[in-house]
Amino acid sequence: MAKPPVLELRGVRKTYGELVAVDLLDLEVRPGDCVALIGHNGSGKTTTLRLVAGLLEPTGGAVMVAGDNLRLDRSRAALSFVPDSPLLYPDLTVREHLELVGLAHGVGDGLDGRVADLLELLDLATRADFLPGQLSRGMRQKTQLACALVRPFQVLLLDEPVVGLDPPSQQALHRVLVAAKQDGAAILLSTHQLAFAAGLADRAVLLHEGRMVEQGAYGSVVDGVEAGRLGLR
Amino acid sequence: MSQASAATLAFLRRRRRARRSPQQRSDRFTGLYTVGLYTAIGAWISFQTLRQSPARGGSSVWLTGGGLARAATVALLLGLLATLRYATWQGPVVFSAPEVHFLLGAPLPRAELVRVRLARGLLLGAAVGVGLGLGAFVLLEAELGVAAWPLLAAALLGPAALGVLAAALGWLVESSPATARVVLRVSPLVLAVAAAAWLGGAVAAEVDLWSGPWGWAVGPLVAAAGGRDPGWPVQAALLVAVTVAAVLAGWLAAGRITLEELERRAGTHTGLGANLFMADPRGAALLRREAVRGLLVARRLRLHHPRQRWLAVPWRDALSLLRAPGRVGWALVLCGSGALAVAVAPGRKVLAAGAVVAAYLGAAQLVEPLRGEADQPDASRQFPWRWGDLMLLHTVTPILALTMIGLAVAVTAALLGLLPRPALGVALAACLPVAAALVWSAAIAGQRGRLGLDQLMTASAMGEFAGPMYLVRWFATGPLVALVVLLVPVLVLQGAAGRPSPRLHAAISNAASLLITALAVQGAWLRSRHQPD
Repeated sequence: MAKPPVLELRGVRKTYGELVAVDLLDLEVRPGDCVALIGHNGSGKTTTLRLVAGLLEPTGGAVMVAGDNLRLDRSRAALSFVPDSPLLYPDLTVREHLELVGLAHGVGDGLDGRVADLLELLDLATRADFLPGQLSRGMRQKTQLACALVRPFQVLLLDEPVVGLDPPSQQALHRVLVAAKQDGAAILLSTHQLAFAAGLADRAVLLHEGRMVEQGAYGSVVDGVEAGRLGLR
Repeated sequence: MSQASAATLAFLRRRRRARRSPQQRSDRFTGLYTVGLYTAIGAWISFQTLRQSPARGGSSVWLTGGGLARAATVALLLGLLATLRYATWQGPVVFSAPEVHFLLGAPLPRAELVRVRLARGLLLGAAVGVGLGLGAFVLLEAELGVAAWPLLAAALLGPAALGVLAAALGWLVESSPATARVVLRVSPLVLAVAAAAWLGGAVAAEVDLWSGPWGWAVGPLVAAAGGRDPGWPVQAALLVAVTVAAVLAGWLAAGRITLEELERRAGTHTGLGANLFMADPRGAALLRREAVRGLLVARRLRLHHPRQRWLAVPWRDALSLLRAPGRVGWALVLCGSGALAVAVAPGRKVLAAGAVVAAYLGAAQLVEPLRGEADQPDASRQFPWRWGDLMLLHTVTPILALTMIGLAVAVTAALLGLLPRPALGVALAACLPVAAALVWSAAIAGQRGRLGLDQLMTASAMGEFAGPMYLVRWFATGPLVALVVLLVPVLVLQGAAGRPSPRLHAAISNAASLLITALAVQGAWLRSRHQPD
């Protein structure tokens, strides 16, 4: 029997005055699923992720996480979000960022080991005691990714996660995300990098001007007529 | 100057002049004329008012008996320190970003281009000195009524020479990171020396006048004001000699600065302009901090993380304070000076209000991590707490730090004999709630985030009077909350000071009740806040 969805969007709509950023979006993501949001710039991918992350209030519809309304604290704890540009504290080192997030989410005794593993995995170990101001954009992005991965989560939201990452880091991230899926995490990611999403996403949602144009198995959507018509391939 | 440099600079000047419309030129002239006129009128009115004041002459004994020497020496020393610290991140020679790329990037001798700016900086230093000297002349002449011309000459020439010296030394600091590092490191020591010079009494006054250029610039002024300083000609000669030497050294070092350094300063200059345009003094302060961060060896202080979840944010804030100990230092200076001033003159209500505002500013130094959180509220999504709870967690470490500062100040005041033994107990007990009230006032203001374009546009749309008032309200919110919460209990205590014991105990009890009620309201309000958009 299929597991119940851990993330549900029901008729979600977001408008800014007359501009409709996301229009009546319905989506379900189950544990272990990875869904890729694809589309042009301005198609509503980031807005959708920010709605799910609770950073934007929907104009209409509802976002449910693990059966709860997004406003509840436990639904916040279930979501881990990686924004498209890193949001780091200028006075904390890379390692301290990870310790802070892990500690806040009650990782407990295994925190130091988990931090060390992630630093190693994302090739951040040599920069662990650097401040964000001393890091390149790619390194800051990896720090943000590590922060999202160091804590327990049920749903991982990734907004353009590979922008600024070098190929080895992209491969490392790919491995981490595959492992997270196998552990039962649901992943919702937006990306222009179809090659990165290809080995990871089970399903794809094609957005255009805020509307869902097509949804289905990743390969069929990316190779489909609509994606071709919009020039996404 | 080489022909190529002269031709390039002349071309730039011509193009800039051509771009300036007659209206802009007229506005510039009108602005300068207005400032000059108002300065002259203001100086004349101040002079006449002070001269006819019934209190005139009341300070003459203090001034000529060493007070002028101490006050002016300390003021000039602090002014020189401020100029040199400014030179660690900006300085008298700052180019714009396009100038760095196009002008300094061209194959023109850099020293020649730098000297043009340096000359401008030296003139500016002299002008600032003349301005300060003029103010001092007006005050002293009105108070003392001594022969005007010698006093005017001494008041203008000494500070003007020191202004030139400060600009020249500033350039030497600017062009040498090693010197800049020294300036940053010895600053606390200079502050301590200034405090000692101020507190040293009449004996120190004579030493102060010989202690360095800041004293040499004051010597002729003291003599012209009727004080005792037979060595003033030597002091004046020393000041001139040192100033000439510094200007020469700076002139010769004109080509020493790297393009990288000038580019960094140009970037900071652009950011500074943007922050000031956006009425964001905190942004400007953060920019300064960031600009000098590279000069000092990065601190690698580690504080092992705790085990309890709720301590995550206080731990993070403690790390932040450890990495910026200057914030704790400022908090100590601001809270300490206010509290000690009240302890010296406990009955003065205005002083009490000033002390509350100073202590608020001290507390505001400690809540920087909370302000940083409000700057990028989206980052708070990585925590499992609601915004209001997160804000309260961010106040734990500042409250503890401010309590420690309060305890230290109270004990110091008692040791100096400014606080009687019974009052010490009350002061110690009050440290924690007062610290909480101050920090929560700062948090109430800080959790709103930065003053944004939306607010500036709102202010702009509100008109000439309401607009500025809107901005004043934005900046005054924190201090006003602190005043409302703390001033009433303070006034209750002031009213009962020296009264019989039962009345005093009742006043303490009332003040405590008021404070606790206010704290409950502050805490509840903070907890109810939502993440800013």
